[in-house]
Amino acid sequence: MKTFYFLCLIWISLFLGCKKDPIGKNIANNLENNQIQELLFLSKSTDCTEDISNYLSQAYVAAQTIENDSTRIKSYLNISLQAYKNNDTILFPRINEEARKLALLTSDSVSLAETYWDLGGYSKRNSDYVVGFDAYLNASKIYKQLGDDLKSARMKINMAVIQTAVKDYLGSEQNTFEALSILKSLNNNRYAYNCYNNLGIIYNGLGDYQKAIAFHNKALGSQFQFSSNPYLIAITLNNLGVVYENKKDFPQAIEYYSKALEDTVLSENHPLLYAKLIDNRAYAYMKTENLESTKSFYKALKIRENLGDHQGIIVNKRHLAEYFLKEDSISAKKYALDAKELAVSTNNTDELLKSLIFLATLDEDLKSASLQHYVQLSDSLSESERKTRNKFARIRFETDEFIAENEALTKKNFWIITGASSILILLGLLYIIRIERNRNRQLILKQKQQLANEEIYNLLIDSQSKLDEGKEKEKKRISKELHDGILSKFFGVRLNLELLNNSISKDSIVQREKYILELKQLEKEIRTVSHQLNDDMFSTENSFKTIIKELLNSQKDLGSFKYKLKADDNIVWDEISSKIKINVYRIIQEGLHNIIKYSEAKFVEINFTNGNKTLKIEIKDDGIGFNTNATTDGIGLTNMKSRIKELNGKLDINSNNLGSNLIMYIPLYNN
Amino acid sequence: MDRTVKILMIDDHPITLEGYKNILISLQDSNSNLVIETASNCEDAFWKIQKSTEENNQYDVIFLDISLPPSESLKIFSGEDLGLKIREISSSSKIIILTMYNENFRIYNILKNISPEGLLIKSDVSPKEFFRAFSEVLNNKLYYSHTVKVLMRKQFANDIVLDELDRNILYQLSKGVMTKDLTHFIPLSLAAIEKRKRHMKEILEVNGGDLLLVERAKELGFL
Repeated sequence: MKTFYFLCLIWISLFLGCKKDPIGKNIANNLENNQIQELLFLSKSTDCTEDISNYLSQAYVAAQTIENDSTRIKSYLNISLQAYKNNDTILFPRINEEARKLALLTSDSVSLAETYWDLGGYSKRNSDYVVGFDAYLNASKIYKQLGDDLKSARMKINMAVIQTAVKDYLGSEQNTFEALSILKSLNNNRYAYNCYNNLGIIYNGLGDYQKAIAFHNKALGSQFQFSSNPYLIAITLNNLGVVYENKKDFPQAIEYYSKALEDTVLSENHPLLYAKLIDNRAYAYMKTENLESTKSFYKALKIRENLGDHQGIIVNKRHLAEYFLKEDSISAKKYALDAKELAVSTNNTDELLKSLIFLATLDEDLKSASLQHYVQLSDSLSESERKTRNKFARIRFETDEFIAENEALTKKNFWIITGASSILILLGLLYIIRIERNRNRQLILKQKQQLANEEIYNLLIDSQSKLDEGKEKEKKRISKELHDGILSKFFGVRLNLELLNNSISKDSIVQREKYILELKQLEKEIRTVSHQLNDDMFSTENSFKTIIKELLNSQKDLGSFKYKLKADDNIVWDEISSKIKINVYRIIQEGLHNIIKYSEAKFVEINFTNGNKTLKIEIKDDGIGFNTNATTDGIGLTNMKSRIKELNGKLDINSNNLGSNLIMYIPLYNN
Repeated sequence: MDRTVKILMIDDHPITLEGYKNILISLQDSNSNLVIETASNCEDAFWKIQKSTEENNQYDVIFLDISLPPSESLKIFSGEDLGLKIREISSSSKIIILTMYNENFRIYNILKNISPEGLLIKSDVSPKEFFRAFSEVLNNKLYYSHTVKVLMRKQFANDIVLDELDRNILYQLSKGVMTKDLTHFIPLSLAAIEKRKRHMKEILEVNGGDLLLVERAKELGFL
């Protein structure tokens, strides 16, 4: 048995050891969640305030260990709601604030709005109207952003109710109508009652009883039409009664109170309202000289005292004081003083004022002091009310201003973005156009260069074929010369010598001498022809040189210079690629162009030297020279350089005021 | 035999003319009287022949070289042209052609166009042969030198008939003229020339390019 127990322990510890893996975590969270749920359930199932606080505190501690943010916020909200219901002034603000911080941190707008809502309700209940108003305003804004117009409107109603409480009737009226219009657009009638009821209270407060009655009736109508909540109906009937009471139409007031009191279960379900109604009705009766009401005052007072309804007690005692005014001034004074004290201790200035005025009419001794107190209090009250109203206005104004500013900024941003993006697009387009144009230009340039190269190539081929033609002609000429000239002469000489062969006369010896001389002459002729043949060969090998020579010939008059062209005999032009020849031709052309255009040279020398697998080209002139250190080369020099680079060659430039010397080295075989 | 023989020798080399003269003078019959005149170009020769005809005293024998300085004005560009002119204006003259050319085509053309009484290739010629040719022609006989005879025998030996245009095509090809340029030398279209070439390759049994055709033609004596 012991071993089993031990194994169980290990098993459990193993489980605990697995806490790090996500499944384990979830399990742990679930465990905590369950615990919280349980605690919340427990808190709901008891009436003892202390027990509830205790359960909720435990739940709060448990919730703090939840790792998942959204789950934790939800738990906080659940707990804070219960704390709010329990009116727990310690726990609620703490959880509410923590939940709000977390919501802000995780950008959880829905939860954030809920925390404000809770805070609003809590503050309203504790008469902290400024905080409540601000909280509802925030909630309303967030719901509007989230697109939840219904909740946004409900928050506005709450704001309006707070405003009514501080007698900011105009602000309240505005908010109520705003909420009403939203609700109408949403076709939602459920919360219309709240608006109408609030409007009724507002107009009652403003002394516009007609309107007040109309709205209360509307509220009543909406209740009958849609939800029929007997509690709300009773409240409205009471409110109507109050309006008629203010109108001094007491019978009518009594009628409404009585109507409300027709609800037989009211005294059970809503004892406070019931107490209020019978108190109010008794007061109305009293005003109509019907003294049936005494019992009701006491009954109401008793209920209120049992439930700790301080505000109700004050009103009740004030009513009683008035009731005793005519017969029993001592009792009246006692009730009035009680009411006054209670009003002071509960900070109910409204009732305090009423009791002060009553006391002033009651007792000559107390008159001046009470009146003085009254005036002072009235002043400070209206002052503080004004301040609150201003505060509300400021809060709203700041919000509006913020929204307007935001809108302006958004607009501005829109224009900036639109402007910037259109400028960017424009720049982009310009850039693309530029690139395209450049590319086009480059292509055209390349094409031009290609054409030029082709031209030179054709020139080379042309000159080659011309040379070939010339060679052919020369061959024919030499052949003809050999055939018709030398061979014929040989024939003549042979014929004559053959004829003289048999003759030994002196005369024939002389004759023979003559033909032998003729043979010698023929030797010379053959040598000449042989030389010509050789020359012919020589000239074919210099075909490129010929082209350069032609180039020089065509340019020399333009630049009015004389030239010298030298090329090493051992340069085998035929073995040099056309690419090199074309580029060298171009380079020399550019060079000559520069010389003609800028140098004022009178003499140009071009040398081709055969290096070790390199061709050295030298272009010399005796012109005025140019600045070799210039940061940017002219187009001519740039072209020359690019061509030399293309041939993997090297360029040395020497230039001074006595002339320039461009020396290029072109490798012959790796091109 | 007391007879005067009027002779015109046409050659552009004085030494050759001198040789001819020496041969005739040293080998002639003692009783024959030779009147020898010379000309060294076409124009000179033509006017001499023209004059002889006008004087009704035509040359008996005319020695004619083929390559001669031409005469633009008379449109006589070679010995061949001159030979034709002689046949035209001096019909009684006997013509002995001496030429350095030994290509079959040219010889064939000379024989065909001028049909000279004597035709000697200069490289064949010795003084004795020269004189013999002179004597034979003078006695109304024909004389052809060795090379000419060989050619003629070759011609007779094969029964292949190539006309003048065919031969000209072969001749131009042998000189290295490209087929596409043949139209400059031969009055035929390129298509016609191609056709003739194909035909020649067929009858000469040549299986290959123009070079082989030319070689075969040389073998058979057409060139």
